[in-house]
Amino acid sequence: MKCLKAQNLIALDVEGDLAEKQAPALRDHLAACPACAEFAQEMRESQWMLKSLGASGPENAVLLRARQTALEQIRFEQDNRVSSWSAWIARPRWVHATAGLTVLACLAAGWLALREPRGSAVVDESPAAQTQRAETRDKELPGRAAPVAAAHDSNTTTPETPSVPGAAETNNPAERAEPVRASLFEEPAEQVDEAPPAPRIEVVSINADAASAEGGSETVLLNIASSDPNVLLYWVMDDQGGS
Amino acid sequence: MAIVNFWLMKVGYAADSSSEISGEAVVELLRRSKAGDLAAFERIIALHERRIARTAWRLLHRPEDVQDAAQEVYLRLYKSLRGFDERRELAPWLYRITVNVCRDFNRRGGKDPELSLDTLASDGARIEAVEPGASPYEQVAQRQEQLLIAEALRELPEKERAAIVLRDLEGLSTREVATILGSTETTVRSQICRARLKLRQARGRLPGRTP
Repeated sequence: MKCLKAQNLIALDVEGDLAEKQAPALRDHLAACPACAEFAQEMRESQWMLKSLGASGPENAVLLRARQTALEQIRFEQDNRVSSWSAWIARPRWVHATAGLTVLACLAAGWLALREPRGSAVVDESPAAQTQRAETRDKELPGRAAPVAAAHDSNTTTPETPSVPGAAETNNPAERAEPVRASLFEEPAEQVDEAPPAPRIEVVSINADAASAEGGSETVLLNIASSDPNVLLYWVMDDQGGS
Repeated sequence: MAIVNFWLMKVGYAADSSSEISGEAVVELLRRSKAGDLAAFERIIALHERRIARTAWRLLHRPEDVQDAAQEVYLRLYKSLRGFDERRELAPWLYRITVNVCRDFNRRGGKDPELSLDTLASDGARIEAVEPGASPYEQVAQRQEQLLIAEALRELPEKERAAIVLRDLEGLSTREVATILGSTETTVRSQICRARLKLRQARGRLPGRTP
């Protein structure tokens, strides 16, 4: 065994950390090598000196201070945690009841606000009512009277005064600004126009002879009309129910 | 050798007060502490505070931080006590917390300050006279030797220092040290071997010693 390896083993052997199978080889080396034997003695003394440090350390007063401070901190945290809840619980019952009712009222109000459909206001769409609304607006905002009236009266867009923003561009900033304001002002009325009343559908005429005269199967021709002038429906069916 | 043996008898570890209490009583104390009984928790601290402080004292770069470190160990112990199985042994867990706390303190604190006898004796530190019957000259020499060893211990890499403090100063087995440090026995054995060689070498710096 070489001395360098022996010294590593001595460092372990000094506290009994050496594996049993390595101990005999180390003993043989120490018996034959005085330098390593001296090394082993120094190592033991070094360990004794190290262990003499083990007894040194902070005084009891330091330990006591650390303990007391930690316990005070834990106690403080516990008290704070408990006091916040106990203070709430200790309040009078009417406070709890009021808080509960307030929460319920807020929840109910929120629920109702979500349930109510938007834009459900009933608006009179007759021409007289529209004219009256426009006049009322003109009175409330005199500065806007001219463009609003112009936009309302024409109801047809001219190239000079476009009622829809971005519909036509002019180079004059003043001319560009006014129609924008007017169209903004008109916006609610346009929104109302977008929600027409539901069309009514009715049977206009029934022609049962048109097909039977030609010798074919009996055919009934129904003319069904809607109140909406853009909709006209025809439904043709035979006596077997086929269409 | 007789003198050395006398030193060891004189400075041998004061038995922790945990040896005065049975295992069942400790389990009961742990149960009560988990339920929020601070008196029981204080008793647990009292059982282990000496070994916590002693370990922290050796692991910290700044020994004056030992009070704050011990305090931090107690707080961490209390906060994590609910998850602890009281049938297990508390000491290894406490050592592990202590090592972690000291590592955190050392990282925050920067480099080691210069060590001196004054530093060692400051802040409540006590160094036992290794040979009370020795002449004043011999006592000074022994103190100087202690200082050298203490300095060499503080200069060790963090892991080597933790391993040798737990193994040689706290007297734990290699397996226990490996468990506490989250390492293997082989690694711990290698670390303490290197550390012991370095300490012996440091002692050789004294006049009249062979390095």
